[in-house]
Amino acid sequence: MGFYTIVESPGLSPTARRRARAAGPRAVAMRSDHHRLLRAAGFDDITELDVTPAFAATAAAWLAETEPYADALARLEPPGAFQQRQADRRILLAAIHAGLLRRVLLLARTPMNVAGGEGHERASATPSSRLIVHPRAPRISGTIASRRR
Amino acid sequence: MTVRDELQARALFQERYGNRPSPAACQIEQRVIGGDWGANGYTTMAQADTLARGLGLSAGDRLLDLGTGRGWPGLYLAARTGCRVLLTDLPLEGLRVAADRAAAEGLAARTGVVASAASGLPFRAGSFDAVIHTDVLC
Repeated sequence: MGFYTIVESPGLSPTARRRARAAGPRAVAMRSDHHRLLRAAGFDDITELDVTPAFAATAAAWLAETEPYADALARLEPPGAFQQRQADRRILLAAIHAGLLRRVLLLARTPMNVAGGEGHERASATPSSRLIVHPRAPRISGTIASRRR
Repeated sequence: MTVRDELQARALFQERYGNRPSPAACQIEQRVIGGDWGANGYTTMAQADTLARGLGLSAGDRLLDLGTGRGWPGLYLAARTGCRVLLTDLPLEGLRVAADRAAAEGLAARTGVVASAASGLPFRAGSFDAVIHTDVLC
């Protein structure tokens, strides 16, 4: 398994932690120890790579590259949405520079190389270009409900 | 994250994936992450390559991409490494874009698309050689 994720920096004061959670994506607020969760799921040989400098560069690039198109992009969205996103990006970038947030790549292996849930209805994992809607997918829209198998 | 947060996030992405990215948005994405996947996260092409190397992905491997959106980075990794990929997410709008792209890029035979919550995956244990998600648990 491998995934990139954004986490609070370790050792933050309560005040700094609140700021990190406010500045980061919603899931940053979860009190998750990814190493512990991976081990609990049977993974071992866990490797963590800090990619925070690249995170800062990418966050800054989104902000800088988007700004010249601000007027055109804002017209494509509901009033205020674009401006809010840019403001959120500035807050995120400031939090990264302040050392409040990190982005990491976690790589982990399991001896049995097991993936997939237990106790759920089974479906073939054989690739198919057909779009399949899992019967247990939450109903988000009428489209999903109407396309259920 | 609360159930309300999840529902809000799903609705947001459903709406977003239903709209084709503007030419300006495509140019911006190309400059920021190096691709044109309609993504707005922080995983660059270089980082997707790092992920593939870290997992040792190669031709024939079975890859599961959770929260794939419009197919990034699972489809890219399938094209890059020759692996087979199964793309999952909840918004159908994004998955349809991903399925169309797989067909357009000649990857349909190695690509599966399943609308499913990551918390209730409909696959047998041992179905995949590798599982990825990027900017999902972030």
